[in-house]
Amino acid sequence: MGVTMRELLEEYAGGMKDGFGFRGVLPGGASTDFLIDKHMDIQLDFAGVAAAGSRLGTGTMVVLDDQTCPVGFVHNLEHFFAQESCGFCTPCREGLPWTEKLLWAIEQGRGREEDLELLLRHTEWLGPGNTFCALAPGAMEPLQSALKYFRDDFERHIREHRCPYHDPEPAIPHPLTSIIPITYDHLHR
Amino acid sequence: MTIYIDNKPYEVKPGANILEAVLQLGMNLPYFCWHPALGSVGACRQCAVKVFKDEDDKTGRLVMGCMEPVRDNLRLSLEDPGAKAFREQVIGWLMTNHPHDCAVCDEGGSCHLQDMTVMTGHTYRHYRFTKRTYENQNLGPFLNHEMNRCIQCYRCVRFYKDYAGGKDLNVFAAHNHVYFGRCESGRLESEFSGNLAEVCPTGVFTDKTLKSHYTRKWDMTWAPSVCQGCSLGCNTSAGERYGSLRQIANRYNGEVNGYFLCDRGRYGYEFVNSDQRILQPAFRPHSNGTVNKDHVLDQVAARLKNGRTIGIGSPRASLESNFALKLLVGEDNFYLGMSDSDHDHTSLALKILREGPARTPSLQEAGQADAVLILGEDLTNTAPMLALAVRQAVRHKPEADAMQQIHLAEWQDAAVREAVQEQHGPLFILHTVPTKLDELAEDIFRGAPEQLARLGFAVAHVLGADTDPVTGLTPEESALAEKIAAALLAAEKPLVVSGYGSGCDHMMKAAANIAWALQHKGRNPMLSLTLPEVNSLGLEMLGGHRLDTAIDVLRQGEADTVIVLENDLYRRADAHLIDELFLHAQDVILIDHLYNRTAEKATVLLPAGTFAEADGTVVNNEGRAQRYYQVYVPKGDVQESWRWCLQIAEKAQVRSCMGCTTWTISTGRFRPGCPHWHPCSSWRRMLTSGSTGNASPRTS
Repeated sequence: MGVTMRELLEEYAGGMKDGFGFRGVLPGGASTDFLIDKHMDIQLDFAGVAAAGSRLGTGTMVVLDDQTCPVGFVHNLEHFFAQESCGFCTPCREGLPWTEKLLWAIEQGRGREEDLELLLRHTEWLGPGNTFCALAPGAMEPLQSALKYFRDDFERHIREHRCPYHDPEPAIPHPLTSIIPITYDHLHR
Repeated sequence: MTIYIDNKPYEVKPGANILEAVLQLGMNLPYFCWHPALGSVGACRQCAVKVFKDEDDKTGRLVMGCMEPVRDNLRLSLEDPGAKAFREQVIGWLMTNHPHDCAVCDEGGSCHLQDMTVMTGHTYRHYRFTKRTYENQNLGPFLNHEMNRCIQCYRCVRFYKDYAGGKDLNVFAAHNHVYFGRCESGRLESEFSGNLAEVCPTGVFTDKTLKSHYTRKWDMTWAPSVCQGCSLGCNTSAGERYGSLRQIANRYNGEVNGYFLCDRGRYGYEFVNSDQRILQPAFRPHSNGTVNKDHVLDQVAARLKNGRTIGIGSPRASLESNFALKLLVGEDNFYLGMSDSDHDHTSLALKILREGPARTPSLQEAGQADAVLILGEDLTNTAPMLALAVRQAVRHKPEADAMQQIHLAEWQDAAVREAVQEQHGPLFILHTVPTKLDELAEDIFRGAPEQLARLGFAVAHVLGADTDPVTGLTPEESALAEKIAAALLAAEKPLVVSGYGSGCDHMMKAAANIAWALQHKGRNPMLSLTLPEVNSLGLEMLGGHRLDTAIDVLRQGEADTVIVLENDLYRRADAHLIDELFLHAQDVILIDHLYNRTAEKATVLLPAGTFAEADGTVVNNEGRAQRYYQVYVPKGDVQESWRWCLQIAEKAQVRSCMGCTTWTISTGRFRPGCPHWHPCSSWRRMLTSGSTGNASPRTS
């Protein structure tokens, strides 16, 4: 407790692996906000992390490197949270799968301009007090901070109709790709 | 206290939550999971409003109206754009999975989800992805199951399990795949399962019997009605279209049935549409061709003029019909169409109600009791809604105890039930056979009726009743008598229940003695007595001779013609006695709805209108007179029984009926001067209850 982020990641953890750059970290597990470069010198205690706009939570550090798509990263988390929802209250039960499907559409190159606005509204609607428990607010933390810090990546996905991290050549966008629904029920049991 | 809604002050009663207060003020705030009988759980998040710290707070925070108690000077806003947007979005979320079924969904037109959607202004579905779907179950003959429409409000399981004590409907799985149903397809076991159709805000649970002759709610003509199934007299709304009865729905009565009905009352209406209906007047053995109504009336009138006629009434017919028959044949010749034992029980009940000091509670009041003794009754079968009331009654004492430690509003349903867990207040059931309420009882005693009655008298004696002590009790029985007496004495609102269920008069006498002893000790006891049929008490009050004397009269040749009103005599006495009745009677004229054993042997059949085709008044087990109204004009020659009686009287020029017009009967103005009507001055609670003239009542 009390070491800086930089210390923890570079000294104790040995720094980023060769060839990978640092983009961000979830300091306290899946339901916390990203901390990025500019937060590297904050102290890792509850107050310090809170002051930087995140939570120390469980202290589980999840690092995002520059070869990993932030959209895919956050989609994975929202998939988890959507499954973990108990199903009691409407915003979480129906809202989390919707954010997950939006993120998947964006990742698959089928995102639309209005999707980012919808995702942002969800991070507001699924705030503390609006839902029955803190699962949904927690689920929104990585999404909210990803939209704040990695917005360019999201916009690129939508503009180029592809994931720039997985698909190196820009695709020739087919006019219909963004509106043909692709079922992916094999992922959502 | 004063609260401010959008900066305007309103006076509200303390203790309510914001949603209740707003609804009581007549304002619109959408909701799903809250229900006036089930309280609040805060699941759906639909009733979100903004509350503000003070006048200067311009942002406020969102709270759920159903979970927030009102307090003095509370400032809230319904019109706040953030709150409105959130409420609209809740509908938006529900619409992500809700199928586009409206056009083909049974619930359409009487759908709470439709109403709330319009209320929030949501019109466009922005969701473009797939919907989750479910497999449906066959839940039996009463309810249809269409889970895709579910909005997961949890009302079904909260009603079925928490309120009605059902075991076989549950919630399964999690996240957006939460499923409400049984472990596997199968008939729902609860006697109150039909209420799921009204409690469910969407078309997941719908009336399967309506489906077999479906029509939209707005195409039905409704009339206020009263259930004919038992002596409790729950209020219903009967809906018809094109001259056939389509649906029975609950009609709210804050003193009797409240929001719910039992399945017998809700689904027991199809006899009205049966092909076994008597639809034409007829002579038996059958004459060929159709019989002209005037011809039949002439024949019947001739028989009345030339012979001596007796009339047998019915505890399932209205007061008006029984009265008209009594007028027609004369007081000396009017017989109760009850079995002699039913008559004995009912007249004893009437005596107890008239002469005793203990009061008879309304059904809702019975549900407020905090200690209950059931003496010789299986309420689930004899008076189902009273069993449901007892289920609520046993919650009161543990709730009151829990509230000493934790201060919770009673509408905080989930929290209150959590605090109470499985505890029940004192309930003692003394009966010959197991009953469904046994699981709630503190003590159950099984024995022969006389044994149970003796135990009842012992309880009364312990309470100080001025009767001889009961001898020969086992130590176990004595101890139980002491325990029951102590529990009833300690209660604020003790309830004693008995009735005709065991066929033992002494049972009711013992129950009465217990209630009266409690009364003498300065308590405020309630005494509920069940009766066999919808108008048993009404018929008994009207008065008539015992059925066995009717057979004597015929046997001795003092009468030769019998008019039977809405009755199957073979259900009222041993078959050989009724055979004798038919043997000695020259003519038996039956006015009834359905072919039955009596109809097979009657010489004249006159088609009677059912409760849906006739106005009428029935008196329930409390002594509450309630009126039901004709829903549609019956086909052909079917008409109200009382109308048949008056038309016969007119043809036969019966003097006592002169001046007694059909209008007089139909508006219930029994003339005091009429020698055959004895207005009873000590009737308790002669109330006409229920609303009239509802065009299309709300059922959810």
